[in-house]
Amino acid sequence: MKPRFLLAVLVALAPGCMTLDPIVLATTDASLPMDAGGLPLADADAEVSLTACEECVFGVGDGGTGCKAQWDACQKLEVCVKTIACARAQSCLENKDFKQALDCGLPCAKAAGMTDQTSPEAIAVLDIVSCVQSTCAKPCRAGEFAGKP
Amino acid sequence: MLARRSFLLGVPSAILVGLARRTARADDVAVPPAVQAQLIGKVAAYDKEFANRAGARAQVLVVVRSGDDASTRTGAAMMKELGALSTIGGLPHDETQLTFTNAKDLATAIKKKGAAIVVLTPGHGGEIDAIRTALDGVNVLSVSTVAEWVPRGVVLGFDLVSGKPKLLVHLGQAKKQNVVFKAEVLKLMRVYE
Amino acid sequence: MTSKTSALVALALLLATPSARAEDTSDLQGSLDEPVVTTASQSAKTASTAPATTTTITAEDFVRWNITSLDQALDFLGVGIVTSNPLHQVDVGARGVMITKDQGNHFLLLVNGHVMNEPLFGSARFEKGAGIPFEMIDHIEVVIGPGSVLYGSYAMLGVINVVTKRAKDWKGVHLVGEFEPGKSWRAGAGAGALFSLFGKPAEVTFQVEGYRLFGPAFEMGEQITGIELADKQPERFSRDPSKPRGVWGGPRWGAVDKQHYVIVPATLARVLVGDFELNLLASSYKRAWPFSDTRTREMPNYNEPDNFELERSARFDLKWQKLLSPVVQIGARLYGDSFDYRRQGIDSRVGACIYPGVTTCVTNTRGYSRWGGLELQGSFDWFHDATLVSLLGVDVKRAFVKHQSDSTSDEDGRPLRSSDQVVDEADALLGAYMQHEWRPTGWFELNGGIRLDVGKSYDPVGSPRVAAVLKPWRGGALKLVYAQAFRPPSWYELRAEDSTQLPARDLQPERVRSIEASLEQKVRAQRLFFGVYRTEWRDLIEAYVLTPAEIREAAARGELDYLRAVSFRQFRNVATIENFGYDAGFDGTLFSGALRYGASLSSSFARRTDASGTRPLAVAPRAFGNARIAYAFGGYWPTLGLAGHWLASRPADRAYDGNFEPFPMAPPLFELRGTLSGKVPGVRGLTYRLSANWVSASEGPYVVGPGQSHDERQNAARQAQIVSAQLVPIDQFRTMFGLRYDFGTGEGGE
Repeated sequence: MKPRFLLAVLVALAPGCMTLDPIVLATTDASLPMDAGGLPLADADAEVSLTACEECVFGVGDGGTGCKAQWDACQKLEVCVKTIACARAQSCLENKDFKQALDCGLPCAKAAGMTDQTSPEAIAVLDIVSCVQSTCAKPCRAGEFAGKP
Repeated sequence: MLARRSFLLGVPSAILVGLARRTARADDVAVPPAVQAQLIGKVAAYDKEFANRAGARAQVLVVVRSGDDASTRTGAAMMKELGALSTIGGLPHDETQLTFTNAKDLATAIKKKGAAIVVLTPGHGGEIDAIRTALDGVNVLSVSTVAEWVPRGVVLGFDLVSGKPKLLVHLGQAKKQNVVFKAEVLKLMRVYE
Repeated sequence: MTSKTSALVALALLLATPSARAEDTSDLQGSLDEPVVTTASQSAKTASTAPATTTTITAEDFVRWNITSLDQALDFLGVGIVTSNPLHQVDVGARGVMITKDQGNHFLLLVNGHVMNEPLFGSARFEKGAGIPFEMIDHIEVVIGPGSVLYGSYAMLGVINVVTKRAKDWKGVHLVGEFEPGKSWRAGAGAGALFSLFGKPAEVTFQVEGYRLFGPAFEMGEQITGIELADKQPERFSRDPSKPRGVWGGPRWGAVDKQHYVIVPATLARVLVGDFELNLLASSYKRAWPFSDTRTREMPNYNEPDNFELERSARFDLKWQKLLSPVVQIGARLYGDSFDYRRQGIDSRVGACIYPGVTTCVTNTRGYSRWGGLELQGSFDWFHDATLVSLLGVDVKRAFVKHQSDSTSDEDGRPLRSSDQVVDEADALLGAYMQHEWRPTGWFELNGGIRLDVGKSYDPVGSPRVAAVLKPWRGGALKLVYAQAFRPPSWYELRAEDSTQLPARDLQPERVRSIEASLEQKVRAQRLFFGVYRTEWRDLIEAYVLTPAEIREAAARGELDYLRAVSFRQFRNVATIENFGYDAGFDGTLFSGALRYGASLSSSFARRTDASGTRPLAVAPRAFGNARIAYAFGGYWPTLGLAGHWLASRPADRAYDGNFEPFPMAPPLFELRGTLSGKVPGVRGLTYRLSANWVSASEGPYVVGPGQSHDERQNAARQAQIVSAQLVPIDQFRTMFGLRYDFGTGEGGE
């Protein structure tokens, strides 16, 4: 404690000024590793733990197997991962019927680069949405949707 | 060992005390004239000799120094604030402004006018010793608007301590000027001998 | 007239004059107890005639009731002002309004007239982190109500001016040491001297001190957290893999003993030579607190010794004043400040640190602000008797602010992403003000003024004030005051952006306007005060959380990439506040000042309105007050002091958006402090202080830990566990022992 306090005193009284130079990394931050689970870029503000619905969708924790098979298939396709990640952020998977979920997630799909509704990526996304409506109906449509920060 | 330690502590103390006896920042009027006037009006009542000295009507002399801006300003403010008081020491009163020439003339003027109170405004720092000597034996309550002059021999003054007015009194000089404050009020004052 | 008649007349005169009743000095004592204040109008006047509600807290009060920081002074001895402690920098509020997480930027803090608020965050500190050596404080003037008319920005709730001692009251050498067993210690040394320099009277005062808080180690309640998608495992809150996962706090983690401390070295020096005055301040404030919450997003690891915040400041202020004539006084002030800030957070949650090969991210948020300026002032006492006085001033300031946030790997220190929250701005500010004081009679005074502030980031803002003071009867003073104030957006609010924070758009200054009326009545040495007020706030700035619809719209405009984050926020003008209420107080002395006592009570009705509706303010107490009494036995007998302050129950900070059951309310709080102080017999100059402090409430109005809301979408275990809010713990009992040694004062010690 004593050395730390003395160090604090020296820091306080030292004439050195803080200088700041922003770091610019050459590589883009946007390429996410596939096994990161498709979560967006590190967001320390984020609620990183899953809701009951998400546990079912991703087949983890108390969610049982849930839609794990559909999610495993989706994870092989970058556009699908980005679409579902965005849809998760937009709460498109919870408390919505099939049409509402699609309407909610469509902008995510477009942003992720999906252009063809018959592409493998689109089918993988639809498989997950269908599974959410059936296998995970109980946790995912349990109450009113509440957009929480 | 104890003696040596005491001596070592005493050396810096002595230096600091010695420095402290030097003149403080000159002519600081710390307490606003309005407050000083009010306090004069109340404190005078605690001078046992005030009523005898003042008679039926108290004469107050406000001494200003020609050409000194602070003195002129404080003098005008004191004239106004003292004039606004209904009584001083319980007595009706008149104020007169006097321009300082020298200490001897000041003493003469006090005796001539029968002044019960003389108020010294800023600008007289260089004359305080002479004024103190000249007022020995003169029956008057001398009041300083500058706190630092009280230790040098003005009977009553005002300072600001922790944002509140503090009364200062020079008891030794008070005795020489026939000012006798009651014990109760001395408890509220910082006393110089 | 016969001699007998003369004697009778003389006796009658004696009985008739007040001097016959003058053994009672209470009236005089009352005049001596009335503070002389300068902050409200920048001219010396009694508190009853100042154009605002002003409280003065003195150095003697600090000793009587063992006050050792600004926030304690405000709580135990202030009127209409209150603080709240989240174990972080304290929130300060007044008249029913307290804006949490505002970093003190709604109060203007001055030290000897020098502005302490810095422009990057607008922050000012009111706890030990203020870095003001305490024994050097002569008194504190607390002005409640908008004060921008003379000081410009930040003075929305009020102005607090800390005035330090002159050498005449700080002569000699002074040593102080204090110890709170198991909690903290403080040590300081200072000196003061009067001397001559270049033939001019001069003086110097200074003090250096150090403060260390090292306890208590709070036990935090257990909070079960969820599964992380990234690795399908429970959340991680430590770099140490052996530490429990999926749970925060509780017996499995134990008490927070490494992440709760404060270190504050500070120094202050004041030099006066002739017409010049120089103030120099330097301090550092390093701290860590035991929990993460919505304000400390980057510090979720539990009891992590490397989580901390550090700020340093250095300031200088050179004043000069000259009376040019009985009418004209001019002054100039040259000042410069440097403030820097660093927050380090260690985050081992996989989902928050998803970089390949990295298990723990270290986030460093750093910023600095450097500013300097010149203020010129002219005062015109037109009749040189204080009947009509005009004050004109102009303040020109230049400021430079920078800020950035970086994330590095804990394993090898490499940067993981580009810097964000980057701010790099140079600002130029101009403030011009004028004030007129008119006192045609001794019982009426009118004060009117206005200040215009111009800055790079906001349109010119005018802050007027009009005040009338009437003294219709002996000892009474009626005041009526209307005033406005503002706070410009800080540079952080204006410019900082990252993957979750959008840059602000069209952010306007916050504004407040207030009208108040008060009555003060002095009866000898007793003083009563009662005031009522109404204030209106608008354009309050907050970090607004975008709704999903707003996110989609912003994404469509290309303003954000919502593949990159879960939620988005943006600083916006979001709310208004309306409040009205009263402040009441009394204080007095008896027995020539040996017995001193006082009390205050404040109550208000405050409502905040934003897009979601109208509701009470969180954290702000609707009613609060204090009371104190002290008796000085004199000589070597001790002075006994007892002080208490009280806050009504109040909603927690997440009460309205946390969805907790039950509705989280902090219980009423009553704090009592007993103090014994006096001279140590036989040792000239040595004094002591013993104190015990007890708080009735065990928790305060801040939700702690990762459980910041109850979300019905959470898994069942977590839902069951986090239904009710866990509130910040309060240290309920502390004792203190202190010694102070003064020598070379030329008097008999303190």
